[in-house]
Amino acid sequence: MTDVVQSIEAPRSQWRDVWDQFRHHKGAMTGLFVLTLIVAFVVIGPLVWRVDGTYIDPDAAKMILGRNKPPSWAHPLGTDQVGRDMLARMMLGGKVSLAVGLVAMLVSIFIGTTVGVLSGYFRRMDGVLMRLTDLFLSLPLLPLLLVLMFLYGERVKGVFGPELGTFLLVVLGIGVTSWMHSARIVRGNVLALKEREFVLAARSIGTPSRRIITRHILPNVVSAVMVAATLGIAGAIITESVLSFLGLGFPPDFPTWGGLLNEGYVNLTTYPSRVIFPGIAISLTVLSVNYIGDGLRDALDPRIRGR
Amino acid sequence: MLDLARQPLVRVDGLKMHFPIYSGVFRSHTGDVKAVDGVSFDIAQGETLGLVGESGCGKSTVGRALLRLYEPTAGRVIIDGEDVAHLSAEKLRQKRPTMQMVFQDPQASLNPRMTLAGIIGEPLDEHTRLSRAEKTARIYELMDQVGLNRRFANRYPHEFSGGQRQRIGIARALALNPKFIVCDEPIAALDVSIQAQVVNLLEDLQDRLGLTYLFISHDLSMVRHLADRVAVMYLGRIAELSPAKDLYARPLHPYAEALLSAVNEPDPVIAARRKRIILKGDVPSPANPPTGCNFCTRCPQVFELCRQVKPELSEVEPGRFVACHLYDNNKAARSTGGPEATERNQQGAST
Repeated sequence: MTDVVQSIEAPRSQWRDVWDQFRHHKGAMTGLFVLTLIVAFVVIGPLVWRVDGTYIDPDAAKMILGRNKPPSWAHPLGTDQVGRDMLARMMLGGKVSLAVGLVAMLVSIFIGTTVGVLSGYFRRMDGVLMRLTDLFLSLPLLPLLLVLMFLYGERVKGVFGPELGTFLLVVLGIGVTSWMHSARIVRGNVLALKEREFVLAARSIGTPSRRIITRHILPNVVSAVMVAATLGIAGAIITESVLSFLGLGFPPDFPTWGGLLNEGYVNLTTYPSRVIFPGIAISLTVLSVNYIGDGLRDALDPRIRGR
Repeated sequence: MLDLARQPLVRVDGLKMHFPIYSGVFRSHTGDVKAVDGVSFDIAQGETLGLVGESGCGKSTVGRALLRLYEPTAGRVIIDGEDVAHLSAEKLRQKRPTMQMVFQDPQASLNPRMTLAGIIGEPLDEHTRLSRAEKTARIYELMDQVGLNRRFANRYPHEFSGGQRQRIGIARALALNPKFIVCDEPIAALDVSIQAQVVNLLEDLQDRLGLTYLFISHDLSMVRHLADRVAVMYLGRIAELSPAKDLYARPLHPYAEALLSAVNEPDPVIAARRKRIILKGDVPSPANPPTGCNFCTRCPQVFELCRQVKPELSEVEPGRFVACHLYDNNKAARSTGGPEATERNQQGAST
């Protein structure tokens, strides 16, 4: 009797197990907590700290006096080289940086996984897709991005408006130029996986290729993809700052963490706090995302789960 | 003993499986690995055909080509009235439920990220439109059939022992009520104590469900126990195909004789008296087999004809098929085989 009762709750959702395991991963929970704090800081912060981060005092004398201030009660993180409040700028910039990092990572992982799975699984497409990957790898990315921005920047901004246009351009630009490594990693994994007997077993059952990929291949490359993804966020935030620095990402009055870092780095020795705060924000984000990825990878693997 | 009246469920005719070799700068086609080179046999409904041979002789390739997990180079594989080797993709998919496979390594043949219910349910998802409750009921039924506790449904493959994993593999193969199951060394990766359990389970299922097996193994004593007829393979070809009892009592092909002399004998008295035939040399490369008989490089009874002409598999005694020039006809066998051949015949008469 008990046997029957116990087995009725059988087809249980996998996600409950995943969450249970995730909760026991200390690093991942800390990472999740920190990331939540950062997101809250960026999203809820501006509602509490109602200072305009783009406001420059029109009175030139006042502006010059209020430049490069160290942290104080009026400006908890100090002011920048034209007297704008750093805390407000951090919040503004964080919103953009997090969004760019996340979306660019998703774009690059999506392209990378698709290319990797297709070239690993279908031998016929392997040659073409991998040569394409090599082609992208051999391109000098920064000049390519610059040319992209230069050629299509105005047109895209015309269609989507300056802010969304730049955002789309930056995100797509970063995504399209950073998928190659994940594609290679995924391809390697798929090549090994598809020779495993459980894929052969699925074929002997008559499972079509598309469902073999979604049911057997993809869940087993998750861990590799997860590592690439968490590293991708960091890479995207930094690439975005490089673009902003070169004047082809977001305009300078539109702050991002990377942009703040680049502005502050000119005066690194005199005003180190202007570099330290955005630097800490980027590092904390990257670190917490890495830990979350680590925890997710463990939680998604049934062999580690429950230990 | 051998029911010739039974309709063959599986008929394999001239099956060839060549894997191309590409070499050089331009990856040009320079040859083939002839893993399976013209294999023919029948399996009757409800029968178990054992397929034995040493590593690399093409046993597993035969099993996989039969189910068209590889595209055969040539030949026909008629299973339950349809030529599997030439079916279109969609027809083949619909045909899959009648023929299933149990794999060698139960660890590798189960997806580590799927639960037991997911693994056994996969064939049901693919070929049936059962409701959730019906599917669960069917999964439990299958688990009962192979002796797995229903409480295990939510567990993952790594939580099971080797024997239990093989039961999961068997349950998956049974899910769609197949007629024909290829068992590709299902016991090779298991403990000796578990091997018997799995073999008994297979036998039991055969009795209850009327299954037909192709049992691929290099464990000769297990095959003796399980199989009705046994095919001995050497380098991609069948050397001898005989009823199990006859083969083990009196192997006809020199290779079968040598192979069977390697089986351990539990009785020390007989074991001490027994003469082992130890073959010299290595198996030739299947990419470049000898012109004549594939076994001619190592055969203790080789003669000139063997090096020139490949012997065909032919019936030399009722129900016994041998591919060997020693048995081309009885006259030839006596004159060339000399005293050994006659001696063997006498032994055969006495047993």
